[in-house]
Amino acid sequence: MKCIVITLCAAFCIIGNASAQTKQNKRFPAADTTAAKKSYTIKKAIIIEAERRVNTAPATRHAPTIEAALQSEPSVALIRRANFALEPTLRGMSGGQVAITIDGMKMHAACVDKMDPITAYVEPENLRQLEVSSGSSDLSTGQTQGGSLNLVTIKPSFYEGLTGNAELSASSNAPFGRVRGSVNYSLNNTAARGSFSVKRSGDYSAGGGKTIGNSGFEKENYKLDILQRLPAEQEISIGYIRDNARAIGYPALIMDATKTESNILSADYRMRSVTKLIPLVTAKIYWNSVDHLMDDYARSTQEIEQRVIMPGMYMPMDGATQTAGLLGQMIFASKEHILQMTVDIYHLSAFAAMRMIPITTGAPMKLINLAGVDNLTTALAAEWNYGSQDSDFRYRVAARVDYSRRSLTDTEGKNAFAAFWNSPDIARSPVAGSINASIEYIISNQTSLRLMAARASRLPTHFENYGFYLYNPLDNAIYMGNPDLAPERGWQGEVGIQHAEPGKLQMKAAAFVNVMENYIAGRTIIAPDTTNKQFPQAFRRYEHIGAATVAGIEADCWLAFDEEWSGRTTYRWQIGRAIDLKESLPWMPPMELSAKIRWEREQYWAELGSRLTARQTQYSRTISAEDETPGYVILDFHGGLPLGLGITLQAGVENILDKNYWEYSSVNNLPSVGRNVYVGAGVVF
Amino acid sequence: MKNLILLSVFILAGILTSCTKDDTGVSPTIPISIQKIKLAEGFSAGTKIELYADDTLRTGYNRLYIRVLDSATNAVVRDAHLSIHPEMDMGSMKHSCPTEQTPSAVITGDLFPAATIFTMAGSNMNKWSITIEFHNHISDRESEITFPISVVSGSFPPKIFMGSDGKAMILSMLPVAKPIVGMNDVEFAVFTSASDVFTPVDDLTMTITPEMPSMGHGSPNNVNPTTKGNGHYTGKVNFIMTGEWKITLDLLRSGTTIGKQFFMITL
Repeated sequence: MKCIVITLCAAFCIIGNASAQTKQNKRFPAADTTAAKKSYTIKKAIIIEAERRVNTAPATRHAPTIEAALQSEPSVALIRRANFALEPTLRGMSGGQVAITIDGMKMHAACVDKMDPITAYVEPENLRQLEVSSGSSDLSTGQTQGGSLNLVTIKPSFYEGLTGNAELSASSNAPFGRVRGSVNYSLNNTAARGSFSVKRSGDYSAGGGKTIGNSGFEKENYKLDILQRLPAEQEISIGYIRDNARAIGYPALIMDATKTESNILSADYRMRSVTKLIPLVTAKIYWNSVDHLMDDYARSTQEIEQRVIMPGMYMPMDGATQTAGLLGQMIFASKEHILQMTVDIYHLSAFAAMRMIPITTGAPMKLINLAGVDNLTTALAAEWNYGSQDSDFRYRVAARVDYSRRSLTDTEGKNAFAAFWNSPDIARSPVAGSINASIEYIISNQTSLRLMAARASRLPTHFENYGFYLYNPLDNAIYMGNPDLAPERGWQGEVGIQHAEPGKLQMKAAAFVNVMENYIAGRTIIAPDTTNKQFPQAFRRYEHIGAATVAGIEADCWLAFDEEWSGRTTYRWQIGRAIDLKESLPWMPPMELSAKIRWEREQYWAELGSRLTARQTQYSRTISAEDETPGYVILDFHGGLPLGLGITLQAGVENILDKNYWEYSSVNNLPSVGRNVYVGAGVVF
Repeated sequence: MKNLILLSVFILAGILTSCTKDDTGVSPTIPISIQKIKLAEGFSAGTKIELYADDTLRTGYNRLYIRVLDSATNAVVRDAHLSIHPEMDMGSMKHSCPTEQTPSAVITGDLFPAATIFTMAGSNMNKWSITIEFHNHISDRESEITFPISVVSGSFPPKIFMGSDGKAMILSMLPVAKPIVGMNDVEFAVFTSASDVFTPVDDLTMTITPEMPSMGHGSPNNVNPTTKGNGHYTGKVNFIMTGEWKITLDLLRSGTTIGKQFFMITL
């Protein structure tokens, strides 16, 4: 294996790649500079392109994973179930409350235990940037309560000839090894780009050196894009991403992922300068699939016999989703107006089933958890921006309507769900609408103040509508779907201030509040039966549990002390309350303060960072079964230097103090990674 | 193919012509084929008696079908009185079992329905037989005929128990032909037994509780069986998944528990 890795690395070392992106702003995450988004202040872009890491955003240039990049955004937190595929939350909201897309494409996890958030299916070397929009401001990719996260992938470049890069890295903690690289080739009006990564990880160790057993994984990812320029400023492209992972240990859960495979296929059309009034038209058709298999065959007989749920039997479980869609956007622009119209149509098919095989004797059983979910959603969205050079105010209004037709297609599972629901009528056609408006007051050339108000909705997920006997390890309860759920609705307000002095200082701060009328969560319909040793779990059905409020403050400040030294600090404080239950909402992150100081000279750089997280004493007891999380301070050091011939070396120490801690959002308090020393060598030609 | 066409023509002709003779109780044509298992046939008093069942006879509830024909013309007789009398010969003793006699002397089809609840399987030493007494109203002749039959152990053996009221009871679950995941119709038959006399019981209330023994859970929205007469109770049971299910019945009379029995079924 080592030979293969070295060979691949050497192959990519031969390939040259003169990345013009090195001309980007070195100081701060660059905003998307497409014409359509120049005036937008909603989305926040985090640049994480792997092959350009050395010369891009200080906050994220060494980010080895998408999760690491996301951690620099104050509104983002991560749910940890393993040392793999952490699930992002935005402002403490997850699942259907946030919209996570890949190049705008909808994609749905196949695992009913949420082992496979779709951020797992794209690797950093494929990403141009992460677009993060907190709250309900951005409606172009979906209606949300918490926000949207769009993973924008890298497309082929028209730099002449063959270019490329490669990187080989390893770290001490897991142990972990990775090789990755990409090549780009262009000829006349055609360009192609391919990339790959191979990762192998053993069991990681928590702070203090305790090995977390059954926490390794194996993963490969491939991406291929072909781009063709056409006359009249047109482009067409096709893209394909395949991701394979296997032997993924989930120490916080009762099963492990034996395999997970995804295929993402898309075709894009883009036309610029269509008319004087229409600067851009884009259209995308896509299809993606996820196949996921998890089981407990790697667990000991003793663990299975003593398990809190369904003891004494193996429970292999498979899930599959297919999503196909059409996404079209047209932008109308004048001197003072920009109007973006979006058509977003997608179809989801989802199936999941679990077999139960007694270890000793007994007939095997099969339970269908998602009975061929058949969801077709059609959405129209519009966003209007207005700003005059003569005015100190900019205005923005966005609206979106989603119409969804939902049902089940698997006969056996549909029968079971209908028997539970006590009616064969389980098809539904919900409609959800959101609208928001914001005013930006330009206080000076450097400072602006923004006020936003929103009426936010989001459709229930297919789990919330049609889930059948879904086990939640957080509260040790069985969850049942509810086709009658109405969209979750709320009012949102946000005030933000931004100050920017290019190359010297950039500050952003926002305070927000979200008052939801009908928060969706599980409500207990059958109490736990502690006398039942085989099946003591409570049964909960997704319902509207009443009003809920989320409020918080986020701040981000970057300051350049001089040409070489800079610092960045982010701050987050947030609360969330279920009004009727008089308790905290689940997943509400504690106060967190991060600070980094950075030195940089040409291609030499070093960064010392710390993350201080307060003790979380406000946690959910009824909706979920959270507990108090101690506070902690983590110190990291990262650095990089050129070795010549285009080769760079990066190394660092994460969790320098080897702190034994866990995040508030770690399932079953799974510890985070202890001290980790990593080193990587990359070459770019 | 040719045979199939010929058979279809005969069947069609049989159906059309038999309909014209319903009022007489005699069909002059060849009877249609029966899509059931023929258990036995015999002749007596100018009448041919054929005994059919849906499947091999098993312990528990079995539907029986009797076709009566004129032995000379082979015409189907649809006007007759019939009664069945199963008997288990154990050598040293004999006993019967609950039966459901043909409900009507006149039928529109070719078969007189009946049913029996076999309480035990047959063997070389223990042999079942069924005696069919009949009165052919067309020929106005009556007689009886006895068929030895084979009964094997079934999936739904009847529960024979002493109720808390001191009466011996026989509870049988009617076979569920194709149990599905989801809601299923279920039917039970209850008889008291006294000196080989079996009397249907219609004054019970039942509570049905399905559960998976290996899982330790049940299912929601089951419908407790209620009486529909002649000792029969119908209800609904919800199987949420495949596997082995235990269906427990609590039998009550005026709020007092008479008995508690269960049946196993595997999907």
